[in-house]
Amino acid sequence: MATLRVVRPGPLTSVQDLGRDGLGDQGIAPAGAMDSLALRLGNLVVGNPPNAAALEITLAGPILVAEGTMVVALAGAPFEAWLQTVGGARSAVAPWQALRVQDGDRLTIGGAQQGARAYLCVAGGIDVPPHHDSRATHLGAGLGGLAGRALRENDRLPVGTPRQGLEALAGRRVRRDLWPPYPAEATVRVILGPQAEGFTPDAVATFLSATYTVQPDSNRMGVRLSGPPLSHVDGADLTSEGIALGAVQVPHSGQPIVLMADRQTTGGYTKIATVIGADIGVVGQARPGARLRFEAVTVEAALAARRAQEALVDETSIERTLTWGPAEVAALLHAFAASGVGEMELEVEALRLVLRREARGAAGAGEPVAAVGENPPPTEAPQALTAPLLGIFYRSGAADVPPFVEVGDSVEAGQVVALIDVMKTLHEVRATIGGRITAILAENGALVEYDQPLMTFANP
Amino acid sequence: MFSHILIANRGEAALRILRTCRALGVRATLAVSDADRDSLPARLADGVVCIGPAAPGLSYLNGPALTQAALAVGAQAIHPGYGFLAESAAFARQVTDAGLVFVGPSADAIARLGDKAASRALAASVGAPVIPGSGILTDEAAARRAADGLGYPVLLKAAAGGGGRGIRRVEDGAALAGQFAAARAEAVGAFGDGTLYMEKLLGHARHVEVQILADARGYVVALGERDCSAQRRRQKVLEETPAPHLLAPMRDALHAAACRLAQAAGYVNVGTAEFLVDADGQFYFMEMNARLQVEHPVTEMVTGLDLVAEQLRVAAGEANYGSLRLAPLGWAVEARVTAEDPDHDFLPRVGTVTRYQPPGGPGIRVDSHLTTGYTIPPWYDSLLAKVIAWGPDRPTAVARLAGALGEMVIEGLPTTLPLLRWLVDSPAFRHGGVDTAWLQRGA
Repeated sequence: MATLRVVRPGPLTSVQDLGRDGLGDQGIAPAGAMDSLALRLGNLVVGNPPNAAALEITLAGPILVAEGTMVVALAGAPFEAWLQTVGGARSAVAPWQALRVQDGDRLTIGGAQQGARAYLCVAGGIDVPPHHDSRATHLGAGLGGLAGRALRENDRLPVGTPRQGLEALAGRRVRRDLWPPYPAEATVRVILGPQAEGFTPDAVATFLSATYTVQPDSNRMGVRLSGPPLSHVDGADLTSEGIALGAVQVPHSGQPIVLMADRQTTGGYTKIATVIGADIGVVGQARPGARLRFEAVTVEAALAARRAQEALVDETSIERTLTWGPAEVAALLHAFAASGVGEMELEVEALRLVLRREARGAAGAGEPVAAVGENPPPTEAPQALTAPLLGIFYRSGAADVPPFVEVGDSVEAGQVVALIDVMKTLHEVRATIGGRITAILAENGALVEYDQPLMTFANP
Repeated sequence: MFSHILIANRGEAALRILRTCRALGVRATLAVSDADRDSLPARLADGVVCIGPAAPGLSYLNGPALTQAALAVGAQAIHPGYGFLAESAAFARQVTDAGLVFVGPSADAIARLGDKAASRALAASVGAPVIPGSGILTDEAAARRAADGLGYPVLLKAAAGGGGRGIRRVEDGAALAGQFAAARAEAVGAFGDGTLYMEKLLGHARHVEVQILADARGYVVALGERDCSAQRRRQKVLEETPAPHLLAPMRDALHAAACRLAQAAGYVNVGTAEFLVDADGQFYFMEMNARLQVEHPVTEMVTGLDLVAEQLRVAAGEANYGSLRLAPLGWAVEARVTAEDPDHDFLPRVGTVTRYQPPGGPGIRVDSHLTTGYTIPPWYDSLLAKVIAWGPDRPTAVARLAGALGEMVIEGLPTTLPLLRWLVDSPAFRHGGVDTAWLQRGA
């Protein structure tokens, strides 16, 4: 059975599917993907049923090594990501697209460019043992997923048997026009209630007109918002009752909290509104600092939105893209060189390849020459700083000294950003380009190989 | 036995060590340069660590990175293979200081034997004849005095040299000044040490070396000799064991001298004492190679031993050769196939192997990291494959080698295969006992 080995877990990566429904009466929250649409579309790309388990990646990604051949796709918010083959060739991983990886390939997922969560879907699904018919991890309860916890270094994730051949899957992707946006400011549709009457009319009007900012202490249980306080008519408390996904509860502070996948099953705060099912993913993708506005809609409108979204998870949303990478072109070149063929032309989707054998005596006698036509627009490769030498990576000069740099810092080319220790000799690692640090990929105190990506930059 | 080692080498040597690790159940992590990430040994290793860019100075010769890598992956020992850092006393010391085991002799033994002048003195002390020569030559005047005493022609040698490099032939007194300056510059450039010494050039001598195996308890065993006289520019081309037409008393004397030398040097692990045997039946000690040799497979073929496994056993402190009884059987001959163009003065060539088809059959062994589609990187040595043939007697072994070389296919770049086929078929080699100048004379 193929497995994924965790080299670095990332800040919070867990196994999630669509959650375990119908157990609220026993106090078991559903858990599951924070952006279920992204998970379902990702599963569709790799030929899985919608409920197959995947890895939910939060803000910055893990480094994984494939043990066995498999097909993977990165769904949800766009993250910097690239694949390094055993041979060392490195290529950016395009989002929403099925990618075939070979035994030993290393998948490095960097920081989120927008949004908060991505899903690494694998053909066959992450095959951890189900718990109450679900593989979703409830982090607070320590239930489901991989031992009920987030991934750790050296975890091995079993991959299930794919439903179809891997050859047929590679190159499938979600149609470009259907990729959801992950804006830093979004409008979320709600149905008012169940306790809208527990708030002053002014409070309801404020809730539907003000902008609320997502707070850093948000998590999979609830997304905490900050904005103009909402006043209750008769206090925040009521008799505890069951809580629905997307309930917007307002405790005494007057600051709303949207209750999410790992929510408590019952609660006694008044709820001003409930986020509609179609927009739960928008809240799930809101990173700290993102700004949300709320718009009231009718139940009918909510159902229509839900139906429209369900319709997206369909084979008609899938297109095929170029599956020809450098390895395929290299293999063709070898075959061409060994054959007696003088010239050949190949067009596969956006790739056009012309191979021609030069006449003997010309430069590179008898060597095939290749001319490659217009490629598809390359996905913007992250600017990565790689290790100039092998050694132990240190983010600061000493244990009690702050790191040279943090994610979000802007650095100049030539600035010292880390140290690498080779047998007690410290080497300064300097930024080769200036820019803002978007992710730090290497772990403090761990071995980095020569040329291993250490951190990624966005141009200022 | 170790549970995990780091292999600090590449190509055919790395693959050779890897295969033994597999047989012993030892986990092997391979240190690779950026250019070797996709090599056959990298694909077969249990783990791969990229230690630096393609240039060997920053990767395979980068002792601190190799040691750091071994520590970080949890290896208990480092096998240096042959070439690169295999005979670096500084590296051996660094590995040991880091709490790891260096698979090879101690740093002290390497230092003692690596200095060619010091090892000559050691040989003389145990009664092994050395080629008449000088001590360290401080300047040209000292060289001239030494040459006058020895009689021309003489050889100028770099004290830190090895593998046939750093050697210059001086025909007469008129050529001495120029050759001395050139040899010193070459020694500084190649080995970082311009120290020179001088030896008398022997006429019609054969290169015969003795493989020894020494455990930490002090037992030293001679595993037989190898005749490596077929050399081109002092690079071995064909090697065989036993040495043809070598009389039993001479063989015994060589084996005994090699063992005494190893004991005197406090030598532990496998090593090779190299001798010249001249036309008058006199032998002279040249140098001790403190490592596994490229041509070790011929010894393995007739003794049935796995020398890499023995190296690991010795390093792990598990070897005891006090009761080792050798029963060598038959004859073995090895041919080195290199990426050199025999039609263009043996210029090393790089390129992509478009077709590779190794030979087979009774008694044939091929040690090679080649695959169809493999691109020879330009930064390393040109050895592509070793074809080893065993037979119950010499004519059978040589005939099998000729057959194997005939059916071997390496397409995509020039190799020495055509030359080897011709040499193995030549009357002089078929007869056996060629001297070290045979190939230079044009066979």
